[in-house]
Amino acid sequence: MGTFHDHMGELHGITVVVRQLDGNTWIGRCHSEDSVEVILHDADQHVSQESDESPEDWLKRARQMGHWPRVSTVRVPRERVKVLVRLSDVTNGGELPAS
Amino acid sequence: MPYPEELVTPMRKELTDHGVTELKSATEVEDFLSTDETSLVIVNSVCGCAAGGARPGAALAIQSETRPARVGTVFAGQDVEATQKARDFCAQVPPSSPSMALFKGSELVWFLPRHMIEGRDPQSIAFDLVQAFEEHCSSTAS
Repeated sequence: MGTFHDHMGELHGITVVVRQLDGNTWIGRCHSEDSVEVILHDADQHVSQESDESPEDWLKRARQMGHWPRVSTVRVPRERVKVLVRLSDVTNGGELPAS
Repeated sequence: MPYPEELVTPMRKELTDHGVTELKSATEVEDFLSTDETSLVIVNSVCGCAAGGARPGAALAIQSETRPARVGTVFAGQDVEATQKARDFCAQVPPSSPSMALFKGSELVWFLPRHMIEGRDPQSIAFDLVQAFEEHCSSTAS
């Protein structure tokens, strides 16, 4: 029982990790993804050049406890997306699985 | 904005029918966690992607022999004050719903965030819960 939106795709409502080609990483609840963009809600971003924490440590922490919803909605252009995976598929060490 | 209560009532009952205590105010949450015993707090939500498996998973798990002394629930987006108070007890943990938090007294000892619930079947969620119960709940509830 609950609210379902099956027509939105299999990742709708699922917490995902988006690794960009520039190495920066988003975590958020996927609204939709297509050939144009990935839309995330309640997202947080790891910017490699600005963070003291490695992306692996950041993902490891998020995998264990979740992520902070710092950005209400973000649209990541598809051409910037290197990897799109479920957060639950990130390894215990914070490494991304092969997409 | 809260959902209509008539939509939410069956989702509440999926837990309360199994003996889970509904906590609808901050005071009720505080009182519930003012104990030396183990407590499970289930953050319920309307989300079908996750809560649809979370509720039956929790209902299954709390039938196990080893389980927390008390099981309560707050409803995210509906009982806002109670949910915030429950989250105050998990200050280092990002908010997510549905989610489940296991306490010893008022200390958080285990947490199951939303992304570890999404898309999983109730049996898998129950398995994780029972493992946590066996690790943290030393006594068997009567």
